Amino acid sequence: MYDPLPFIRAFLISLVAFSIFIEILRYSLRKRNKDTCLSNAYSKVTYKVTLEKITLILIVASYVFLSYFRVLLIAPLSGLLRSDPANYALFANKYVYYRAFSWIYIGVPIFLLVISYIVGLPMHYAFAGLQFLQALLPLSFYVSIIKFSKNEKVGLIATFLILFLNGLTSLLLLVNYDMLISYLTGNQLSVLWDFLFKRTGSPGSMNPQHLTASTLDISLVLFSIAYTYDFLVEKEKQKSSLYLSSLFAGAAFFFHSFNFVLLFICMLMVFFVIGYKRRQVTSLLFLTVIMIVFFDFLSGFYFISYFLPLRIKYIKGVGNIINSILFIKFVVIF
Amino acid sequence: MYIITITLIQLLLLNVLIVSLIFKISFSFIALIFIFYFLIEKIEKHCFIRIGMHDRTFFAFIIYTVSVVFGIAILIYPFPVFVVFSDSVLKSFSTISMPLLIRIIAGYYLTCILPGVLVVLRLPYFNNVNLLEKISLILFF
Repeated sequence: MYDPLPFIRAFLISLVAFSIFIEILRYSLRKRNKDTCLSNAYSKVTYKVTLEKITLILIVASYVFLSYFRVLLIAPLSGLLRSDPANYALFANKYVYYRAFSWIYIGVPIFLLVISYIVGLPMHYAFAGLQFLQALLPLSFYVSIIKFSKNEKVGLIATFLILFLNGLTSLLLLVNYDMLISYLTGNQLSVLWDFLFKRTGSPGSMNPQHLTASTLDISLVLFSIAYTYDFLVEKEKQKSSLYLSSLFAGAAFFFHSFNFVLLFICMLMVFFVIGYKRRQVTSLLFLTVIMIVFFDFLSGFYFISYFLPLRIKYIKGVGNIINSILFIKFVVIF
Repeated sequence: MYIITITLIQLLLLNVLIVSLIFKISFSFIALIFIFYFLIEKIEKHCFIRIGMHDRTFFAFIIYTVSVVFGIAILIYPFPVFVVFSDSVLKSFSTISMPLLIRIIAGYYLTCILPGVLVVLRLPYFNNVNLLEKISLILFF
């Protein structure tokens, strides 16, 4: 990738191949399901615009606007965005050119590097323009809550509370007086962020100010859980839920953190052991492992080849075991 | 005495002005809320987004045309433009020329939007899902 032109050409050719593949798949699906509901769904799709949806769109728009406002008005390397954007550029270049590992994940740095090559801007500026992906966070909250509650109002209120009041997590500030004073005197971002990381750990916390790797991670996790629920609990089972659930679990592993995938596999194994829908659970487990390997393959086996043998201590085995046990207990009680 | 009277009148006028300003602002806020509510009611009653078979084909035509144009734009302007460095991103973007702007938009569209649009809107698996779910899935893919 020293010369961007061959990379851009390869990218465009792959896009053409991808569109041809999608069109062929669409044609074959239509031909196969001519008399089923799958083809009938083609005829007319109607969306009703409700008050809840308009309000949510306003919330999402303001959220994305605030993110752009924050990122565009400051220098990307000034430190106000924390060190993440600079580190993404550094670690992506280190890995692509020198095969050096740095973090536990390489998904977001590589993603930004590719976008930087295609867009033609330095990575910090490509990152600045990419803030529209912040819309994923409220949308994923809303959609996943609706899948559980089947009520748009509940989803809207939950999304609003989580985004603008940061859920109940801001109440944690009241536990520590020094943290509260630091927060009130203007050190809002790092106080909440560090404090939440200490207390809850990623991805238990969220960073709502601008796009980070955890934005993608949290959204993917929420979607994965929602589709798992859809696949295992709902009466009308859809194969797309199975694929999407495993795809998003694998993508969360690739983009940010493998904690969720570990817990996800533990949860599925518990379901398997207690005999809850064993056939579906097995297929989900199998597909998730395939997706993890697929995403690791996309990154040139970063996790298996580079990270895992050299930085085994980063896995924090003990912490993950405790987390897993707690999670299993929760699932069993539930 | 004269000066005090004038000052008092001025203060009174100012007070009236301030009060009227507050009233104006609050009234306009209330009016805005009513208008907004009325509009939403109307939209709720009458606005439906319908996507039929014919619209779908036309939609695909638009997607592919835009993609081809953007792809050509990227190939014509293929160099990574590592020239914009300033204190803030906004200042840097203000110096960007039109071809570069088109290239930037094309880049974001081809990398972040197009794959999702193809998967979610062209394949029949996602026909019956919520509109907002569709938007988020497009962004994911």
